[in-house]
Amino acid sequence: MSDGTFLLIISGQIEFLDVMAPANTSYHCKYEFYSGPDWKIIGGLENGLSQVANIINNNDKVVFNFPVEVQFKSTNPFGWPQLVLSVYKEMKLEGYGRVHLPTQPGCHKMEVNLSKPKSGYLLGQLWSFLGYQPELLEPTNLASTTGTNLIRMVSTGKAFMTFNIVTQGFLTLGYDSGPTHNRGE
Amino acid sequence: MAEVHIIGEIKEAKAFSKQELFCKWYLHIGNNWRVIEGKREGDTQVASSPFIDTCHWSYPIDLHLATSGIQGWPKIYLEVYHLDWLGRAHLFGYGLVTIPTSPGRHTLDCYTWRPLGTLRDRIFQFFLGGGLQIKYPDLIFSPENRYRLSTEAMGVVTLELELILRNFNNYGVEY
Repeated sequence: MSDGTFLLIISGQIEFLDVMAPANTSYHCKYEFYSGPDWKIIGGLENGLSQVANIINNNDKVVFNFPVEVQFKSTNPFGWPQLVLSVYKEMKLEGYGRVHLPTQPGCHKMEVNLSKPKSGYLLGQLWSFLGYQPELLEPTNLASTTGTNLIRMVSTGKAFMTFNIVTQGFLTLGYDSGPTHNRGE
Repeated sequence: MAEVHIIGEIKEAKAFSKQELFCKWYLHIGNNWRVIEGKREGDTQVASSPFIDTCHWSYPIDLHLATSGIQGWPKIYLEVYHLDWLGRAHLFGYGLVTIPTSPGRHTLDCYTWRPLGTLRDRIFQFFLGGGLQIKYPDLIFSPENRYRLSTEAMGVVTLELELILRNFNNYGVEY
C-alpha cells in the first residue's frame, strides 16, 4: 500500500488455561486489545467475553477454544497490539495475562503467564483470606504499565493461545521483522 | 536514519533465593541513537509464585529508536530487587543484556550478580537484608572498572524480545 500504512491480520484462539481448577467450579475470561496511538481496528472485536467453562473433575483443563479475529491498520510498529486477558473463577478474579501479538507472520503457539494482585499489607491479606480479591480497575494498565509498579502479584497459572499472523504492506515500507516463511519474493 | 523497534517483554526471573521480586530497567544507548517513542526505563510489578522459584512479570517493552550509526547498539540494564514484608527493597542483582542485532524473535537470558561484601557485611546481610550497592551504576557499563568489584551470582532474568529493523539496507549495513 502506497499510503504508508500496513495491515496486521490476526486469527487465533484462546485454547485453554492451565490453572489449579477444583471440581464444580466454572471459569470465564475476557480479552481486550491495547495498542498504540497509530493503530486502528478495521475489523473484528476489540474485546470479547468467553463462554463459561465448567470443571467436572479436579485439575481439568479449562478449555475455552475461544476465537479471536481482529484486523489492525497502522503506520508505525510502535504500540504493537497487546492482548490483555482477565480470567474469572465464578465471579472472582483468578488472574490477568498480557502478551504482545507476534510481529512475525506465521502460526505462533503462545504461553501466557497469569497472575492476580494481592494486597500489600497484612490487614488486606486478612481480607483476602476471608474471600476478598483485589482487582485492577483497568486491566489494560498492565499493557501500558501505568501505575503497575510496586503492585504485588501472585502467579496463578498459564493460558495457552494460538495466533496466526498475516501482515500486508509491512516489507514494502522497509521493515524487516526477521526470517519468515513466505516473503512473497 | 535507520530505525529499530524493540517489542517484547521482561518475562520472568528464575533461580533467585527469594520471591517477591521486582525489576527496574533502563535503556542504555550510544550517542548516535535517539528514542523516538516509548519509555526508556520502568519498573515491574512485584511478582511471586506459590509453588516454583520463578517470578513471572510479563512486563511489556515497546521502543522505537532511530540511529545514524551502529556504535552504541542498545543494551538493557536491569536491577532486580526483593520487596520484603515490611516494604523494604533489597538489591538482588544487577544485569546487562545486549539487544541482538538481527531482526526476529529472541529469548535472552540475563545472568545477574550482586556485589559481595566482607564476612561481616554478609552476616549483617543474612539477618537484616540490604547489602552493598553500587554507588555509580555507570561502572557496570564500562569494561575498564569492573576489576575493582567482587561479586556473587544471583538468578536469571529472561527477556523475550522481537526486533524489527528498518532501512538498514539503504545504508549498506548487513545484519
